[in-house]
Order: sequence, then structure tokens, then C-alpha cells
Amino acid sequence: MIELLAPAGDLEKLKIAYLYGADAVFIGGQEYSLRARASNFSLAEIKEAALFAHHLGKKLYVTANIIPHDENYEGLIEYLKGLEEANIDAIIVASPYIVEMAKKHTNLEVHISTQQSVLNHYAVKYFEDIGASRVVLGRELNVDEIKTIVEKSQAEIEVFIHGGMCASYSGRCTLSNTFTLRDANRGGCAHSCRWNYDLFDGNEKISDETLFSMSSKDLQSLRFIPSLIDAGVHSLKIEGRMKSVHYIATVVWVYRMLIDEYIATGKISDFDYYENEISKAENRLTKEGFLGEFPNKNYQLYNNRSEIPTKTFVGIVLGPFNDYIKVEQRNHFRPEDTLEVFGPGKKPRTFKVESIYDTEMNLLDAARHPRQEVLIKIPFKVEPYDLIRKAND
Amino acid sequence: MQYLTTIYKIENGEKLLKQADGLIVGIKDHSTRETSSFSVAEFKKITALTTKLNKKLYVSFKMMLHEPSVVEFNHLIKTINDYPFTGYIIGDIGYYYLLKETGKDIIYNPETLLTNTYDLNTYFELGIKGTFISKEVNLGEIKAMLTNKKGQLFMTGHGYLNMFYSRRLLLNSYFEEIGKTHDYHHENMRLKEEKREPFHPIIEDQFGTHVYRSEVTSTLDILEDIKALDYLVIDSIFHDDDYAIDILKLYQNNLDINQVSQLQEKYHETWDTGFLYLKTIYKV
Repeated sequence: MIELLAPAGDLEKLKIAYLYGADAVFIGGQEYSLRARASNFSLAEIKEAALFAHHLGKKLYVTANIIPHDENYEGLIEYLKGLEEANIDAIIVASPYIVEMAKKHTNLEVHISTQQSVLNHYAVKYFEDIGASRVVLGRELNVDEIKTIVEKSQAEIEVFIHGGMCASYSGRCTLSNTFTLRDANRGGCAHSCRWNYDLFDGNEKISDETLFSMSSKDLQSLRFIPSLIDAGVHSLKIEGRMKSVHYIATVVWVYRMLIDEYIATGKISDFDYYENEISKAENRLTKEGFLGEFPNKNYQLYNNRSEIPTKTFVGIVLGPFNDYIKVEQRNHFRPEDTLEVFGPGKKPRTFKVESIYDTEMNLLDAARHPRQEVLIKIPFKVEPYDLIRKAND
Repeated sequence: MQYLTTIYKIENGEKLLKQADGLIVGIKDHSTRETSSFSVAEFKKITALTTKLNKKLYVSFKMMLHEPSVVEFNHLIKTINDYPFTGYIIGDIGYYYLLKETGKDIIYNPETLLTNTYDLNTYFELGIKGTFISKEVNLGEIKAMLTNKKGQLFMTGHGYLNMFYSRRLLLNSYFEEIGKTHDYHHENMRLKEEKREPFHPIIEDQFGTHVYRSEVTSTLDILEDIKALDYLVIDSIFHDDDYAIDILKLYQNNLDINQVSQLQEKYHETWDTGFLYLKTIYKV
């Protein structure tokens, strides 16, 4: 069965990812993990996360995917043993030496990070030979290339299906090191590829009001999921450990529904529906990366960062409270707003907010305080962890 | 420590090899980010020259390996492998499996990734003969690698260092976006970040887009510290062979500081020390 793999930056996001349909979640530990700014997990939290995952019959992977310098190896073996004791299902690494140490000192399964930019089955073979059970491919491959690699490899193959993309081959960029001294391959990436540049031919300036940028649109691969499943890919990965609860729930939910429909019926009846739903998550503009045609100007972002939060996430359902529904507020909303509720396996439904109360039954003119628990009426059945967003942004 | 250099024109090979212990060349349509790439016939001539002079010769394939190019690559190797030369420099570990039975030395140069002694040594255990030290490490880290190495270590000691390699054709896309024709001179394009002063060379070829550091990186000041290095490479990309000869003389003859500034003036460039004395931040 194909695996849907989601990111999580904290325990709440992890729980949401599982509840909304992820088969496995990847998180960062506090050591050896890229995305240094993501709220990475302590060993105790990793243990709690693994318990939660296994209780649901799901899997937990921990990234340890920096490209280390000598100074980073101190305490490595103890850390790997700590991860083994936390009972995780695999580590995701980029350093061959970490692979070697994990195989020598623990029983951890090892997956190879996309930081190694594995793009062919010969490179997969190298990582098979040193003990990896899975390889996450580079994002510069079309479906035919992926299919060839799957057919010629023993290791499981994982591919990215959604989220931000490095403009360079992953792991092969030191723009951030050069411009800011922040080490791109040790979690400090300053995303210098998304900056604006003037382009010159010798001394002649070529760029005009549209500045040059290497910045790429985010990956969105809904229409390629059937082909990837048919190609025999083992795991479909969503990027974004630093993304919000709403983003993770929305993206996981959409891919879950699409995968389930394809597996159940052998076809997708309405791609447009899924595309409309996934557009409600806060993405940059999206394209299909390298999966289809070779990228051209339509796959690049110029002059802006194009962050488009299309639907404001306003709250999480906590459960019933007398005749009301208790909601934890995440963004401002008020009476007369039209809201949309969606939950694991459930299509979105809309309703108009009548009145809002606090838990002391004081009438409020708006839900304006982050994480405040408020009471509203919702005219249909909802469940804890259903998410609420504005329907008319 | 031996000196290797890239080469711009085949007719300058003999002059270059008076100063260098060997050459690094690309093969046309199969190599990227080289000073020059040559046809198979030209490569054959170069092998004759390096054999006659008893010098080293490496063929460089720094591009990433994609499945559709495997057949053509194998055909190339079948054509050239019987010529007398020292080895292959590869940018993707996948090439190792295509080349390991060739009998030639295999040198791994992913340009990044090789930032510590431990990873270097895992590649030597595989059968890789040599590895390049990544550009983003500092002198202390280089010294540790030199002390603990279990195979040959190479380092780009002088030249423009690449800092970005994408499969995307970013110049082509940009020219499409702004509606201009792209009859640009490939080696003359430069980027300038809107809030910074330096200009960065940018090139595009069939393998993608490549952006370089703004200054030539020089290791002239640390030659004594890195004397345990097996091969120091002079990369003359964006220059010609006269430049490589001048630089080789400078490095090998320990010419005085005045000659450094004369050379910089002659070639209208300044040099820096890359990451040799810098410490990158990774917990932000």
C-alpha cells in the first residue's frame, strides 16, 4: 500500500497530520536536523510522538539530514541510540557515515534524505550497499525517470509530491553560505535563491522592472499521483515542517482523499475539485515541478514571494459544550462571518456564525484572542480536531 | 602536493604541463563547468601529450546523472576508456557504478557534501581513489581531513568556485519572462543581488544553471598548511591558459606579494580566501 508521508513541526501538527490521513509523519530532532528554525522535537517528545503514531498503527520518521562537519559528530552514537530507544520507525539521513554508525550501533532503519539529490538507480545502489532501506529521490525527476529508478532498485523509493522546492539540486547549493554565512546544508538556509537579482551582460544591465530570481513555484502534483502510484513508488512525501496546522490538515486531507479514490476506483473523477480544495492551503503559487514537462518561465517566481493564504484558518473544534460547540480560536472571526468546517474524511460544509460566547457565557462581539476558547453553534455534526476557516476570503 | 590545472586550448597543453603535474578536461556535451570541453578526437590528442610527458590526466563529469543519459554516457566511456589517462572525476556517486570496472582512478567531486573526515573515508572504503574537499569548509576542518584521510585528497586551490547548480534553465526562463531574445554571451553574464555590490558569474548549459562566487578564491596563503594535500587544482574557468600558467608559476615558485598584486591588476580581479577563515552558522 502506498504511504502518504506528512511533515510536522510540533506535537499538535503531528496529531493533525495523522488524523487527517497521513500514514507516516516525519519530524526533526534537536540534533542533526535541517530546518533549524522548525520547532524540532526533544528525545522525550519524539518518544511521545512514536507512542501516538504506533497507537494509531502509523509510522514516525526522524530527520538527521544535515551534511555534517567534523564538529557535528560529537555525541552522534548516543543520539542514535536515543532515537532507537524512542522506538521510531526510521531516521532520514544524508551523511554516509551516519548511515554506517546507525547500522553498526542500532537497529534503526535508515532512509536517505533528498539532500543527497539521488537521481538515478546507480546512486540508489550505493545507498542500498551501505544499508539504507529507502531513498528519497531528488525533485528534478519526471515520472518516467522515477519509474525506471523504482524498477531497477531494491530499496523503497520515496518522492516529494507537494511543497517548497529548492531551485538548485538539493545539497548542491551554497548561496546562503556565501551571502550570509548561514550554512544551507546544516539547517541555516537563508533562501537566497528567492532573493531578487539584477542580471548583467558584461556591464550592460539586462534586467528591467522584472528582476532575475532563481525562485521556483512550489510543487503541487495532484494530477500525477495516479502515475506515481502506478510507477510503484512506495511513499509520497509532503514538504513543510514549518507550515501551519491548517496547511498540514488541508494538504494531507486532499491527497488522502485523492489517493483513496484512485485506489478504490482506479480513476479520479474530478481533479478540479481536489485542486480547488488544496488551493485553500497557504502556498506560494504552485506547478508540477519536474514531474511532467521540463520547467520553463511558468515554473518560476519573479519579483515577489507570492505567499497566498487563500483561506483564513479561524479555529479548531474542541467538542460539544452544552448546546454549543467549543472552539479554540486561531484567527479573528465574528458573528455573520460565513465559515467552513472540514475534518478527517469529511468534505467541507459552510455555516453562518450567529453568536459567539466565552466559556462563562458572556456574549462577544468577536473571537479576537489567539487560543481563546469560545462557544458557537454549528448546524451540523462536527467532531474534535475538525478545522474551521473563513469560506468567503 | 601535485598541481593539476584545467585547460582552455589544446595547443597550450605542453606549455601548461611545464608548470603542472596534470590536466583536468571535459568532454564536449558530457561535461559541465569546465574551462573547456573537448571532442573525443581532441581528447585523444591530449592523452598522447600527457602520456609523452608522463603527466596525469583526468576527465571530469561534474554534472548530475539522470537515467536518460546513461546509454550515451556508457557509449562515450567505451570510446575513450582505452586511451591512456589517469582517471575520472565524478560529481554524482551514481557514476561510480558505471565506471568502477574501467580500471581508471575514480575521484568524487560533488563540490558540496564532502565536509568532514568521516564521510570522506566512507567513500575511500567503497573503492573511490580520491575525493575533493568541499568548498564550504574552513582551514581547521581541512587540516583535520588531511590528518585523517584514508585516500587521495584533492582541492580546488585557485579559481572561481561554483555556489549554485540547478537543472532548471534559469537564464532561458528569465529571458522568456521579460520577452527578450537570449542571444547572450554565455560566459559574460553576471548577477548582482539587489542590496549587495558583488557581481556573480552565471552560466547556463544543457545541464542547467550555474552561479559562482564573486571573487576568485585563492589558497596561496595556506600552502604550507595544506602540504599534505595530494592534488591542488587550478580551475581557470572564465580565464585562458596564460592565466593558468601565471597562477601555477605563482603557486609553485612562491613569488612575492608584489607579484600577486601585479597579477590581480593584469587580470582585473581580486582574490579572496573563500571559507578558509570563516565559520558558518547553522543554528539560527
